[in-house]
Amino acid sequence: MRIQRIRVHNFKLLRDIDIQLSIDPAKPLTVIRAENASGKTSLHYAIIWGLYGMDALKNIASPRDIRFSSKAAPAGSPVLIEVVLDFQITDEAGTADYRLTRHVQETPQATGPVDRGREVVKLSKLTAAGDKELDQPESWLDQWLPKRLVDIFFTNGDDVQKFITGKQEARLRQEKVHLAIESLLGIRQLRTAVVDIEAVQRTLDRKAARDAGGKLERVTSELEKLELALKEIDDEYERLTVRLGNIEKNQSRKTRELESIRGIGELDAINQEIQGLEQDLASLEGYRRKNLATMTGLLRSEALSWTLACGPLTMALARLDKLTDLRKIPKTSTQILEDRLELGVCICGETLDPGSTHRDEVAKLLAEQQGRDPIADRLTDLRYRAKALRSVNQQDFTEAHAEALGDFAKLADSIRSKTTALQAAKERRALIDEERVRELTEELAELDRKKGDVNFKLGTLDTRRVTVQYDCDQKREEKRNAERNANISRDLAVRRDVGLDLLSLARAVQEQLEGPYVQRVSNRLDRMFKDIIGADNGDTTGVITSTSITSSFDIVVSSQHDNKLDPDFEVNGASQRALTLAFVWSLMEVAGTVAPRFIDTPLGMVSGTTKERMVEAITRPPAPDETPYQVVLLLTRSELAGVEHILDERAGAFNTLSSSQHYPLDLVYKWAEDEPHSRSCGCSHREQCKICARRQDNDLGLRFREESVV
Amino acid sequence: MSGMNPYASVEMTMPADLHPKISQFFGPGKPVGRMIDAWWLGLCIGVKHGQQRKRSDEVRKFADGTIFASDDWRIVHLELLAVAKKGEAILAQPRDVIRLASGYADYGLEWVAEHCLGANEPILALLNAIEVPAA
Repeated sequence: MRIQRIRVHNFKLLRDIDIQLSIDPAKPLTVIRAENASGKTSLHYAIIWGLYGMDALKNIASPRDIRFSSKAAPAGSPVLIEVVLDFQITDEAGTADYRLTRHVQETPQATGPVDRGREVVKLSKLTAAGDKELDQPESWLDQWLPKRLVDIFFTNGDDVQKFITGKQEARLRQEKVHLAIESLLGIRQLRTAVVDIEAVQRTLDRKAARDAGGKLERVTSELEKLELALKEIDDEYERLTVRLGNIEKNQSRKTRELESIRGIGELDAINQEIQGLEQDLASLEGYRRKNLATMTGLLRSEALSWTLACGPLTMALARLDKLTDLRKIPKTSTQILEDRLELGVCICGETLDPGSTHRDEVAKLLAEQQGRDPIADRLTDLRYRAKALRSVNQQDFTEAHAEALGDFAKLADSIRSKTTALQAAKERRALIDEERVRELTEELAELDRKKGDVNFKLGTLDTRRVTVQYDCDQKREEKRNAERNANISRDLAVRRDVGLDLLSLARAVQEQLEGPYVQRVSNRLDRMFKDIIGADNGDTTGVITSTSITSSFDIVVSSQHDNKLDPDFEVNGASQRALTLAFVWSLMEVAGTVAPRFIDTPLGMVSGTTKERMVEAITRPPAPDETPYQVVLLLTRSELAGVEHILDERAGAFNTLSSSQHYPLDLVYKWAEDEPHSRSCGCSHREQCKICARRQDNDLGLRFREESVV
Repeated sequence: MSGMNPYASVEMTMPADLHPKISQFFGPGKPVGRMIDAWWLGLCIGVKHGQQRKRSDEVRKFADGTIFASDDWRIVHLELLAVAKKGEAILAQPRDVIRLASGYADYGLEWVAEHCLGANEPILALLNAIEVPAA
C-alpha cells in the first residue's frame, strides 16, 4: 500500500487538511514540516483512525473519553468528522487505486463526553469505469496493512525506540520484535498452517488405521500418544529454554548492577584501606608532633640565641679576650702565683728562693692580682663559661632550622595526600548501598538456584526425549509394517501422502523463514545501523561492533570481545533510535511489504553527521530489485536544519502544517478565521507563505510563496 | 662562680598589653613553650633587629630570675649582651642587666605575638619568620 492523498475534516484542530504524498519510487519521501502543537499528533491519530477506526486508538484513551471534534465546537451542534485516504495497491493483478472513507458524527455536550454516532467506513476501488465499493473493508485493510503492526507503520518520536529499549519489561519488548518479525515474514501464519496440517494428518492416520483393522489402529493410537508426548516434551523444552534465557538476562542485569556498585570497590577492601590510611595518618601525626617539638626546642635553643644575638655576644667575648690580654683577667692567676711561691719554682723553671729578686717580682704580681675589684671575678667566670659554650655555633642552628622546616613540609605533604585518599575512600564507602549489595547477592543466589533447577529439568527432558523419540521411531516402523500388511483404500492413502507432502513443504518453508530470512533481516539491520552511526564494518575499536537478531528473535547489540550491550543503559539515545529505524526498514525490506512508514519527529535526539546519515539511510530510494517503499517524515524546523540538501534530492512531496494558535508570537500573518485550527499548505522546507510564515523564517533564508491565501 | 644565679631575686616581667597575647601560645599546656622561652625569643629578636621598646609602666610578672637556673647558658648570654652594650660594670647590677634585656625582649615579644596570631602552627610561623643566615 502506498498512500497518495490524505484529507481530514474536523478531526481535532485539523479542520480541512489536504495532504499529497509522494508515491514516486525514485523519490519515496514526503516531508511534512510542522512545529510543536501544529497538529502532527492529530494527523497521526487521524490516519490511524481512518484506517482502523476507534478500536486502534483504545490504547491511547478510552473511547468514551476521546473527542474528535474541536474543543471550540459549540455544544449541541453536530460535527461531521471525516478522513479520506487515497492509496495504491500493487499485487499480482497489477496496480489499482482505492479510496477509504471513514466518517462519524459527534455532537459535543455542555458537560460530559460527546454524543458520537456510528462510524461509517467505505472502501472503493477507483476505476476508469467508476468507483466500485468493496465489501468488508476491514478485512481488505487487514490484509494490506495489518492493524497489529500499526506500531511499525506509524511511529512517533517518543515511541520510536519501543522495540529496542526499556520503560517496559524485556518480555514485552521482545514480544513486539517477535510479533513484527513473525507477522511481516509470514512465520506466524505458516506455524498455524503446520499445526493445522498436522491435525489433518492425524485424522487421516486414524481413519486409515480404523480401515486397516485392530493392530494398525492400536499401533497408530500408540504412535499418536508418543508423538503427542514428544510434542509436549518439545513444548516444555522450549518453555524452559525461554525461562532459562530470562533467568540469564535477569542475572546479567543484576550482576551488572552489583558490579557497578562493586566497581566503586569492595566494601571490605575499602574498609581495610580506610583503616590503613587512618593508621598512617595517626603515625604521621606522631611524627608531626615530634617535628613540632623539635622546632620548639630550636626556638628555645642556645644555638638560636647565638645565631640571633651573634653580634653583641661576639663583641663581648672579644672584649673579655682583650681584658685577658691586658692581664686584667683571669683572676685565677693568683692561685697559680701562690702555688709557685710555695713550690719555690717559677713556671719558667727558675728557682724562687726567699730573698731572690725573681721571688720578689712574683710576690709583687700576686699582691697586684689580689687587690683587683670583684667585677673581675665575674668577668673571669663569664669568660671561662662563655668559652665553654662556644662549641655551639651558628652553623648548627642553620642546619637544624632547614632540616626541621624540610621535615615539616614533607610531613605536611604526606598528611595532605593521605587525608585526601582517606576522604575519597570514605566517599566511595558512602556510595555503596550495603543493603542493595546484600539484596542483589541474595537475588543472584536465588537466580542461580533457579537456573540450576531449569538446567536439571532440561537435562531430564533431554533424556526423556531420547527415550520417547526412540519409542516413536520403533512405533513408526511397527506402523509401517502393519500398514504394509493392511488393506487401506487407495483414496485414503493418496490423501494421506498429499498431507505428508504438504506438511514437509510447510515445515521446510517455516524453517527457511525462521532461519535464512531472519538472518537476512539481521544482516541488513547490522549494515544499516552501522551506516547510520558511522561505524566501519571492519572496525575493531568501536563501542558497538555488531547488531543481530538471534534465533529466538531478540535484537542483540554486541561490543568488543562479543560483550553484549544493554540497549537501555549502554546504547545512547541517537543509536537507540537508529537501531529501531534500521530494524523497521530491514524487516519491511526483507518481507517485501509495500507499506507507508510514517515517522513523527524522528530526529529529536539526533544531531550532526549522525542525523545526516540517518536521513540519508531512511530516505534512500530502493534499488530496482528492492521493495519499493514510501516514507513520510513529520519534522520540526530544528529537525530539518542540516539535512535540507538531502530532502531537496529525495523528497517527492512537501507539506507544512501550521496552527492559528501560534499567532502572533510565532506566526507572522493572522488568518481570517478566529477559531483555533490547523491548516496545511504546500510549502517545502525552503519556503514560507502567508499561512505558515514564522518570525524566524526570513533569518532561515526561506523563499516566500505568493500562492497561498490566508 | 658556676652554678650561681645572680638574677634569682629579679622579677621577670613583660608589658601588660602583650602578656595575654603571648600567653595564648606560651605557658603551661601551650604548644610553643614556656613564657620564659617567649621572652628569650623576644630578646633575641630585639637584639637581632637592634631594637628596644620603651619599658611600659604597666608590666606583668611572668616568672622570677630563678627560671634561669634551668638554662644557665642564658645567664652567660645575658651577661655577654650586657657587657657588649653597657660595659663590664653592669654585671654588678643584675637588675640593670635584666632591665636592659627586657627592653629588647619587649620589642621582640610584640614581633612574636604578631607572627603567632592567626597562624595554624605558631611554631612553624615563628621559625619561618626568623631570618637565618645561609648555611
